[in-house]
Amino acid sequence: MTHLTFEQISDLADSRAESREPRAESHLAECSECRETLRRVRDLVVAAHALPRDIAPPPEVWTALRARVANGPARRSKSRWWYGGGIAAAAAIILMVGAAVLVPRGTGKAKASKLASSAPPPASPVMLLAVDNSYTRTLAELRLALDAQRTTLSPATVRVLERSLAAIDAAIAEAREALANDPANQILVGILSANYERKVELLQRATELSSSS
Amino acid sequence: MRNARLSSRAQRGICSIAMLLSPFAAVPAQQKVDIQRSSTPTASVRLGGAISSVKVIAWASDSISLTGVLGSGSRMDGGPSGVTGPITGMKFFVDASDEAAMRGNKLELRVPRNARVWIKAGSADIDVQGVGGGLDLNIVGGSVRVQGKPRELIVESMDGSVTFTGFADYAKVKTATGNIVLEGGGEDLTLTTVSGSIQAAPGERSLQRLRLESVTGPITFAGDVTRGADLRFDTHSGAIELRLAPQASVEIDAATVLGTIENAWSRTRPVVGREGRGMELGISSGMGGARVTVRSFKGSVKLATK
Repeated sequence: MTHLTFEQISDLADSRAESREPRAESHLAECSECRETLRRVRDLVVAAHALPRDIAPPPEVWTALRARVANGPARRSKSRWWYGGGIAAAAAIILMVGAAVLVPRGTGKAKASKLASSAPPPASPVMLLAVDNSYTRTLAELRLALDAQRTTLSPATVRVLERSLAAIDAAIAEAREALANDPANQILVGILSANYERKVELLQRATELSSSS
Repeated sequence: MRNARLSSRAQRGICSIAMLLSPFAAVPAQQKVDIQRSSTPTASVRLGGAISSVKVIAWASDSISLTGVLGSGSRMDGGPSGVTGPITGMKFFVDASDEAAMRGNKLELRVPRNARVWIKAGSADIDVQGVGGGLDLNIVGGSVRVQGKPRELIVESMDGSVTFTGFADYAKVKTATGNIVLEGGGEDLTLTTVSGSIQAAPGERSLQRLRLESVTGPITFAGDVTRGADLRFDTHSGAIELRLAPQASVEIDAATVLGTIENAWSRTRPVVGREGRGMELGISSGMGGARVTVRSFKGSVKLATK
């Protein structure tokens, strides 16, 4: 038995009626391996659609960059370029390009929503974890730095800060819960990321205030 | 008896004199600040520390002037260095012994029109007029008012309010609980708050890229939109209200997760969103119009006519 080509599976995942081949569909009915491949491709398409349009570098990139700038110019390592994340970066690019190729080239929302409804939701909230992971470390570092310098802030500033942090935390909790229930929702990904951004910015600002006062 | 009355009168007199004198005794000795120096047209000035009010005025002179008063117990470091000729920058830092001393620190800074000004103060009222260079203003409380056409405007505040009237090539304003008012326009403006309100009423000048973002604070926009402009409104739970001209050429893409959308600007009705929750609204009016994107978790969205 000859398995379906990747192009045939891609067409099936895209649900393009004009390109559906009866032979491919009948093969699919018999071959569990191709069915599984099709399921994975559909999941990938849904996950790719759920990605935000603009992806800002994770906050820890800036933290690391700032630390490197503060420590002066780093000496060029003689090690090969692929050490230190080169391979990981290349793999990430290949993955993103692959996802972009797999995503159907329709522009309409209807297409996106059709895909979202035709494909089963991912088994685990991948996007939620991805968003959480982008911010958790930076937030923990900033919180630690702030707690250490907290006494240098005026009580009024601390009150404003705590009130604002509580508002952001409540918003994050709501957006997380909603995203856990609807993992492919792009709007929720954007809203959760924005709430995290607000928290990072506020903590950064408070840390700067406490270190300068 | 008479002696007792006299004694009582004397006591009252002494008390009265003491009361009259006491306010004068409480007035702190103020120190005058008067620094004048010729500068380059694009000189940069940094002013930081315990200041209660600063007025910054751009003038048609290549010189820097810092005048005002410092309260008793305050002192100022920095100022012009020993170099001769026009200077490229000056730095000042004001220190106060306590809050009362800080309240007495009031300064007026005059700079060349294209100067760059950096101010960092705790709780202060900052008023800037006419500066065309860069402005970087940082406060905890108080207020910031900027009028003019700065090339770059960066304002950060915790609970201080921020008002900008004019036009900026680039502006980024962030507050925690402070309210933001935009009465001008710009090429690339981002206004962000946690729980303060944002009111944007851009004038006639073009607005190319605008981002208004809040967590819980309400956002109001009422103004003209330039063709090809890109406007984006994001909130978690704040109410968003957009007031547009009836004939505005716009493409609107609005979506909420749980919030409602009301459209009183056109006849297009919003539809129920994904999985029966929230709402979505898509409007395309005219060709090459401004792109307006609205995203809200549970805040209501309202479109109305300006």
